[in-house]
Amino acid sequence: MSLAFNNVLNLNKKNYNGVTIEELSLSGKINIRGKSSDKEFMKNIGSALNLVLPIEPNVRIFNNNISIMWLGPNEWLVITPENEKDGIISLLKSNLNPQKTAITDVSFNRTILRLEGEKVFTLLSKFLVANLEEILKTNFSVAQTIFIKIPVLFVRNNTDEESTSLDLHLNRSHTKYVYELLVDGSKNLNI
Amino acid sequence: MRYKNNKNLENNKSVKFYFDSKEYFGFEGDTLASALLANNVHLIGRSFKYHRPRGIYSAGSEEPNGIVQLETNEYTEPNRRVTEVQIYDGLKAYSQNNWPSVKFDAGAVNDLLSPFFPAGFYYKTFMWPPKFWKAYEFFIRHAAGLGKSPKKDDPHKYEHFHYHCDVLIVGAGVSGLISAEIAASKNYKVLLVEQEGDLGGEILSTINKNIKIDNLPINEWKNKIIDKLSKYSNVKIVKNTTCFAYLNYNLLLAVQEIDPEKGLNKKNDIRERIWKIRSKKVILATGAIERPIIFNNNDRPGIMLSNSAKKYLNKYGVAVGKNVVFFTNNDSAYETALDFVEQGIKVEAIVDTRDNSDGYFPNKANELGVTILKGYEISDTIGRLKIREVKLKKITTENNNEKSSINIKCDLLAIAGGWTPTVHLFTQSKGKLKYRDIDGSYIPSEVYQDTLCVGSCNGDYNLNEILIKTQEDTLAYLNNNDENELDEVNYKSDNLKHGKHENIWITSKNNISRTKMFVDFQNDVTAKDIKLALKEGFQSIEHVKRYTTTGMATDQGKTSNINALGIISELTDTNISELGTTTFRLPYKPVTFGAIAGRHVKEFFDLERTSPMHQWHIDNEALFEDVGQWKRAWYYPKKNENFQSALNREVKATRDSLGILDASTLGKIDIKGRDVSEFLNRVYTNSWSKLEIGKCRYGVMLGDDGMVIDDGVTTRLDEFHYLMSTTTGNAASVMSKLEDWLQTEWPELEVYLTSVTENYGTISLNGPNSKKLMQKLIPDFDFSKENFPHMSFKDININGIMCRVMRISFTGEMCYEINVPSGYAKNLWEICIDKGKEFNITPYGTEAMHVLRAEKGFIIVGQETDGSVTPVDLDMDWIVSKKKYDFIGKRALFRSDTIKKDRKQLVGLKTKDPNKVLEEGSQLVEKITALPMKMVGHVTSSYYSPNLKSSFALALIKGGLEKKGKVLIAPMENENIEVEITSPVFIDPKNHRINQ
Amino acid sequence: MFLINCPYCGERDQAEFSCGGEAHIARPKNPPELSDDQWAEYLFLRKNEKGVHYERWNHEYGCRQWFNLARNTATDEILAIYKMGEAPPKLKANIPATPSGEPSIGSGNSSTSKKDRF
Repeated sequence: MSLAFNNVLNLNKKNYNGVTIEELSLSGKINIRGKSSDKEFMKNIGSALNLVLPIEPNVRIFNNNISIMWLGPNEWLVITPENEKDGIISLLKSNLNPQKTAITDVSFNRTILRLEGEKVFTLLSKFLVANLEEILKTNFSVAQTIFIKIPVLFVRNNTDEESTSLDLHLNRSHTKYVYELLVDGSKNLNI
Repeated sequence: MRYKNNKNLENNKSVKFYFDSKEYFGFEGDTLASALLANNVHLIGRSFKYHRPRGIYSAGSEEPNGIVQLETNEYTEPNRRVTEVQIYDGLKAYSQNNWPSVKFDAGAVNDLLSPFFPAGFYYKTFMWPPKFWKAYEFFIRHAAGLGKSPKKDDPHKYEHFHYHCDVLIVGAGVSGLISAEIAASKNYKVLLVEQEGDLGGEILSTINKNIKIDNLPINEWKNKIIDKLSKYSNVKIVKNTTCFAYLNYNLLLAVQEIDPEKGLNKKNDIRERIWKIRSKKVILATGAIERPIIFNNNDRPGIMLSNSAKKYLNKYGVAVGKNVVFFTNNDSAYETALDFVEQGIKVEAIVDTRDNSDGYFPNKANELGVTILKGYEISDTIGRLKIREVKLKKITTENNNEKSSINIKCDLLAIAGGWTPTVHLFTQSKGKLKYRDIDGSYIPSEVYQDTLCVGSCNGDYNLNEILIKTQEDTLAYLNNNDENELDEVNYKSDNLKHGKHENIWITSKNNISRTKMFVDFQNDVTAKDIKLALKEGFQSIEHVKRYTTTGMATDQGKTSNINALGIISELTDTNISELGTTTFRLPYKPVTFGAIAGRHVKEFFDLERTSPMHQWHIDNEALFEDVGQWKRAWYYPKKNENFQSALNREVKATRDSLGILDASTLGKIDIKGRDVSEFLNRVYTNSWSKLEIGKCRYGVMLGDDGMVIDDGVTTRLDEFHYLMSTTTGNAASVMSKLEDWLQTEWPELEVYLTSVTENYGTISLNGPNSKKLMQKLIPDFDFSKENFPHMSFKDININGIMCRVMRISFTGEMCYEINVPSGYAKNLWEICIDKGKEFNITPYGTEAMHVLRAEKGFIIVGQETDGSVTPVDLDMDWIVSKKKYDFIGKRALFRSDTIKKDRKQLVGLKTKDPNKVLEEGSQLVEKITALPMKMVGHVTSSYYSPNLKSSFALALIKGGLEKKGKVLIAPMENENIEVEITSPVFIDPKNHRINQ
Repeated sequence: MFLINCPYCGERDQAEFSCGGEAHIARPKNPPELSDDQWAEYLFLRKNEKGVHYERWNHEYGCRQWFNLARNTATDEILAIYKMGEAPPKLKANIPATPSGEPSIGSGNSSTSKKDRF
């Protein structure tokens, strides 16, 4: 019998006064470190993933099943389907020089809450000092910022202006507190 | 009372409210002030020092006098300005600072004694003799303060909200509305903030039909522009919102009162919201506050600022008096007087300090036959609880003794002493003011941030001037002075002539030594106090302010500061511009603590981090301890157990058989790259190059000052791969410090750090039966000492999930630490509990963990260390490499101070009485002497050990390593406890138990 | 709160950053050969200047990168931002007589020196 997996919130998608909150099921998350100035590294990653690591800040690139987010000038986050993660990690490790790169499985470090609805930015403005709407103005943008005192990563999903859909990546240990804050904040969104 | 023709509010719903428990009625839309005045209630409270009767003085946030206690019990709130409280059904307000009642106040005896309460009275009187302070304090505390602070939790909710915009406009009067329209038409994202419940500012109290914009009566114009603004989707308007701070980089704070009509007396969803607004551009249209003229007995109920009387009349339909006397040094009183005349209210006289004015309004008043007394000033007033009569005196330039005093009976004295631009936000933004002599105003001169001031806060008081300058300045500001932009907004008005203002701050200057010329009403500061302060040598305006406390009450001197300056200027014969102003500090007006705290109270007081097994701890009735932001299981009491008995059970079970600890909170840093071993050599005191793959090593991390900052076990997973563990509390700071070294000091090192703290839940199995449980969990794995010895690591598949298992120990027992991907940690924990039953598996919390490690002499960074302890002090010489040329902290270990013999060093302590547990932090002495005793060290950890059947402790003692066996004394409040210095290792010094 | 233009992520609120104190203090390469005083100089002594101050900042809640920032301590103006390893730019700071452009006397920390005014 294999070990049972637990989500943090055990929560179905639910609507809170115009904002839906949902804890996404487990996905593979791989942290990649290496120097973007290292041509060999960039080339090897590119051929392993069929994607070129973005060097522009605050963006995400993706193909059918892999999404790569810029986290810093020498740091990226790869999101994969859970069942493909181990394969991709071995592929990366076999393609890359372990002395000059770091491939780390961080699938369980963070949980992802998907926030959708027209009031998402209003709700988040209660907790974020950053001008998130501005940072996430363009399609396929991501933003690392501070939520109260917590480091978080926002990923924009929507490709039109009509609907807002954001993925909020946050430390597993903070998830419960943040979720409760969001639900509390959603009680009053007519600002 | 309401005047007959009033249509403004009388169609509104009637609202019942109570003042000092008496029932009154007002209308929806009334402020408490307007409703009280409509009911002829003028006496609102007693003054702070002299307990003088006081009434409503203004109609806005500048109100110095009309402050009340609102509501009772948990809903109560002190010092609320009646001019700002919107009435609601059932409102209860109480006058402050009087006993037994506002009409008969015993404290008023202070008024008679006022000659004995000069400036600095408290400083002078209660200084000597020093011993008497305790006696004085009781009375001073009793007399201090105005309202009563609530004793119960505030049931209301408050929140914060961040907002980003292109143009923020503060104030929605004429100039604010125009600026907003211009900004809106240029497609900027605009936020317009107004402190009152209605837009319009001064327009709302204007009814004179000759005051027009674009040939529309100004109120109609206002409705039109508001309608236009509401059609812009790029404009957001918030009312009942006061900007109270202007900070760096155009960050402004505002507090919004949400639905004030809902009332303070019941629980509403959100009561106040603080807006944190970051705007690219800021336009301040904050208006101006009318200023008083100071004369003897100028503080009686029934004396009010003229423009405020106008607001009550025109906005609320309340005539504050039936026989009105005006006192002015400029034209604005005439406009108000004309409105009173228009409503058929008797204007007894307009007392004008000037000899003449050729302005539009004085001419009108003259035409209508209003009595105008030119060249007169008010010298005194009569009327105990309300004004009855004013005394006038002819102002004479020559020193003739012409007897020329007149008495006029009245029930309202309206004062118009000119205007003071509301420059609070502007100066908070670090903008510079300049003094304008013609009307005694400090007006904005140099901006410091990206700011524009328009309207009367910019010193423009004439409507025509306001329109022209607001439009020109706003366009130039938003166009960046690009003149090619089209101007869509172009409002015009007739130029109604205004007569000259005369700078008069105080009347009867030669009589200042009489005591009743009030400058600051709320703090009861008189002109005499200011004179005295100057006489006693206070020169700077800032010092005069603090000595007399003028401008230091909750109204921050909005109606008094400029007059105080005027008085100083006259008394010292100095131009005001040379005096400067006192600093306008934030907040602009008082902000509730609730709003400042926002939602960060009670369940949201601080962040909470929870481990993957958290729910299990809750289900099993653990009590929790806060460790940093983490909620960690502290102990798991069973029925009938107290703290000590639960603790004893947990500690004993772990030593005797098997304990299980949730250690998930420890920091875990994944370290990869070519130079990992070199990196660890630099940041730890010991050597890492030769650590075998699959082996673990304990390390101590120092700051470059040589002091211990962290410790933990690091495991070599591969040639270029380590896993470092840090203490729970320092996980983030260690990660950040290591990243700092790599990025800034050693960019040549190829090392990458990734935090995996939360990727794993950590289950720590401790005790002689831990191996048996592991074998039961993973039957086909070789757990022999040879295959899996202490201080080694294995990747083990447990029920289909790869786990990192380390044999390391923080208890001195045989221990397996299982790092399991955190999504599976709870399930594995439950399986351990289930399979461990036959070994009496006992979950233990942080308290038992502390006892277990202390029995073994293991330190906790932050408990045995406090930033002043080196590894040598901890008797951990063995971990400090002698061979390495350098590592962080090495040099400092050889400073003259760190090699001193009598540094505080770590030792164990045993109390003579084994049942006596020392208090952590207790100081230790060698012998009991007279105070102060010579302290030689302190207790860092102290517990009762069920294994030793005795109390024991760890301590830092001066030269302690050489003092084993010596007896010290812990002098406590009621007893002196004898202790013996021992080794800090109390259990299994030879490590037999670990190494099985 | 400042707005800081992170050289990697763009303009963000100060809340995302932490300050690491004075910049351009390299850790000595030969600590064992230094005297106590020399070591103390590296470890403890900082300039605390009024005017241009070069300091280290970390975009802690963003890209986690360290960079240098030149700030006018008299006005809190950020004068320059440049990456680690780059040489500090030569800058001049406008130093107002009083900390915040207040009148030269009668406010803040100023006026008591003018004796016998009244």
